[in-house]
Amino acid sequence: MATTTAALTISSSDLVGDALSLSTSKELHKADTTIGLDQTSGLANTYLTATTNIDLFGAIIDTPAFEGKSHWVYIHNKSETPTEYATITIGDKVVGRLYAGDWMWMPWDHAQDTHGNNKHADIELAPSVATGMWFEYCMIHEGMQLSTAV
Amino acid sequence: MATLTPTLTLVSTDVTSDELNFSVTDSLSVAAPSISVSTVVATATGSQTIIVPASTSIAYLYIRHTGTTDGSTGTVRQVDVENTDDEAFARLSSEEWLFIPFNHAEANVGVQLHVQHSSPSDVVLMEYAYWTKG
Repeated sequence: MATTTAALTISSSDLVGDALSLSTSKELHKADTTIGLDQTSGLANTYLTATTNIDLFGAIIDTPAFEGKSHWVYIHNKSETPTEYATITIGDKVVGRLYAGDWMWMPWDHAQDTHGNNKHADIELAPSVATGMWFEYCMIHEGMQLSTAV
Repeated sequence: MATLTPTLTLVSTDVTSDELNFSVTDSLSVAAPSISVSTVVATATGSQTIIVPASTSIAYLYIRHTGTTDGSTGTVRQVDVENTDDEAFARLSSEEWLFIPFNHAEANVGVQLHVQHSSPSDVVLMEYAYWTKG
């Protein structure tokens, strides 16, 4: 059993009169257990030279076997040009915009729908420019559906 | 404009042969409106717990499941994070947290929390904060 810990700190000295200093951490577990996640995509870097919306992590479509399992996703826009951003979409829902230097950390859930309009599906990324942007990403998880060879 | 500094650290000595250990920090210019670290009791009706009001701006959003209903009574109910069109995009279990720059393709929507259970008595105490990109 692997042990992986994600920790967050958020600080600001000038946001309000009282300085902000938040910290939290969490071991990453398989769904509904205290067993550590033991699979990972590894930490990856990619250089994208088109504004095409691409699958960073593909959808799990064919089987319910992976539904409800635990997946955690990290995405970092490594651009140093402040106006360059990436649009992040899950299924058909745009959920965020990463400007230069920004990162995100969130669970990705393949749970079966429990109410309308939910589609826990692929994670997509679309760069704002075609002049080349670097991205770093990683997923830590308990199981992914891999494509059948053709 | 104020500056917000979020840092993520991921550490594992045994998930791969090569140790995973990295931190990434950002320096965010943020402006009003913002809500500093707050708590709210989420229910099985998403629209009752809107934590980010509808906006076309980018909201740097932090959400944490406290694992309790009231700060002391434990619960394992999961909580969906939804936009205010009732579309879920993440699900948090006990003590899990997320940090994202929320934006819905510049549409005028917000973020709400929805406990994954139909009983109105199933509630979850959630911690959250958001800051608008400046």
